[in-house]
Amino acid sequence: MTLLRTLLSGRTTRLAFVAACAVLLVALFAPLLSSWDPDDIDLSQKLQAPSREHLLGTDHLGRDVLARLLHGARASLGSVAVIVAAILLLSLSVGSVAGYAGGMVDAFLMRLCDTFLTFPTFILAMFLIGILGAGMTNVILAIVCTHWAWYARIIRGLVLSLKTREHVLAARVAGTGQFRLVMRHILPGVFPQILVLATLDIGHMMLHVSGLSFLGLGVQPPTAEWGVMINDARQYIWTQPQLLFYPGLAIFVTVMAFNLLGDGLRDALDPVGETGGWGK
Amino acid sequence: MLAVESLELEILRGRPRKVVRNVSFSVPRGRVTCLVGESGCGKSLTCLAILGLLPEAVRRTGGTITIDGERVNDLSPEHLQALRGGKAAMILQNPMSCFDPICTVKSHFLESLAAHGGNPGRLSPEVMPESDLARARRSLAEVGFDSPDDILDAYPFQLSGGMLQRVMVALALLSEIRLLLADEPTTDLDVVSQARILTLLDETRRRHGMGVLLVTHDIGVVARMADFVVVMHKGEVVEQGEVATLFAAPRHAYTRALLQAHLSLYGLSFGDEAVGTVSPEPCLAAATPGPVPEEVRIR
Repeated sequence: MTLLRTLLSGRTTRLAFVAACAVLLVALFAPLLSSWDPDDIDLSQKLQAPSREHLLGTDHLGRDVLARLLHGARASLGSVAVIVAAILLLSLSVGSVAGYAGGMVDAFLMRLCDTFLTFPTFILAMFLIGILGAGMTNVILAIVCTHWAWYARIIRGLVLSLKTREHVLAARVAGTGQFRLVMRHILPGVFPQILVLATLDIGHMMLHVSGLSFLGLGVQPPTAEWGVMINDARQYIWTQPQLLFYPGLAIFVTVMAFNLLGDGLRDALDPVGETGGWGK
Repeated sequence: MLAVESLELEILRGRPRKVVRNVSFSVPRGRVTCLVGESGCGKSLTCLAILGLLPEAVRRTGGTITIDGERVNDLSPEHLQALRGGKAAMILQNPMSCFDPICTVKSHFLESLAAHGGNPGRLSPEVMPESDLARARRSLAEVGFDSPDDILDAYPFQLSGGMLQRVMVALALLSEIRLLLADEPTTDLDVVSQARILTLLDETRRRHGMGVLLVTHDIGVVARMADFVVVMHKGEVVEQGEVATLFAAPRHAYTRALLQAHLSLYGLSFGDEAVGTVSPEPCLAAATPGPVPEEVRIR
């Protein structure tokens, strides 16, 4: 609770927190917030201006833009949640084993990381999609493959530094087993820093998902997703620019909210920042 | 109790080089052996080698270590883990950094108890079984805490260095240990706390009959505590013997320099009449603070 209070003490972070919570709530309760089906095509209603019935108008297939925008939050945030969870699981396991075990195990795992680090996200995504076909699963796979190694390297570094701390040595002296040592004394020290990194990266991952969906490699139409919506609206950029503007604004606000939240979290978890800096 | 024979340690970074060479000494049951020497001479590494806790970059290349008849070199990792905190415990130099800052003292006790005969798996301080709690309270009372429950609920940063050092001794006393390694246990403490910890170590040794290996570079501490002294210099044992003999007639130049350096702090000289046939007393008198006035005594 103290952490939450520190986090919310800044106005910008408070605003970002509210925005992020709002997007999360929208994603969770999308079906309750709009009576329209996001995939319901009605060509007689296409490209309608905002009205009482369709608050943000309709797209080129007569689908309600607001309903697609609200359901799009589900696809975007859902895929990012899966990506972040998979990256954390993989990198925490590999990074902590490499850092703690050291020696040959460390050398092998880090070379493995180096191999994955050589692939650029978009190129690997295209490669995987070329082999496995387009779809959200393959986009998630590509983003996880190109990002877990960064996290594993950072976690390894943190573990390396934590395992030489005296309190870890004292726990070993007391006869604490290796598994318990890692779970109780090392990972709790790693986790807050990784949490900050993951929060800062949520926006970055979201841009990847939307970017790949925009290129037609990720979420496939007619599923509502912000990147797909921008792609659909591409041909109406001159006549109906608002169709691009709404999903673009949604991506902008969400990415910004998570970035600012990550910044705030970093400041809140930084003991130097908390006291206003050394010597103050 | 503890026998170290021809111990050799090597640092692997860059070109391998020996940092501890041919070190042999023993710690008999119920006695205190002091390992003295300047910083970086290999005292702490020797201690860590005894418990099989050498850093990654350091390797034992020779020699044997025997604790209570068991050769540490031959022990499996599981047996070694059981030995640490079970038969042999260690007190580290800086008590402020030896406790996990995000865990209460009770959590530290739970962990040590889980490793040695407590209730394994139960590691939440809220569900600490009564039997474990009683053991923790008993141990804290033994090191002089009047209200152990307050200490158990405290976080490390809420206690002073001297108190934490006593908590560390209490943690060591949870099992019936036979050997206590104390790696410069008083270096980071003020003189009042130093005196208290030394008295505590001495009382504990007498009560439990354990062997104590005390690593220090403070000759005053040696004079007060030691039965035997082992002098290390640049990774080698240059002299060892009973404390009175070694103080009276140091044979090696380094030992003489060490004693002289200490005495000169108090305006004494090794050849002085006052020092005479050197016994530990002058060193002790020069280094030990007088009786602690009641008003400055800490709990």
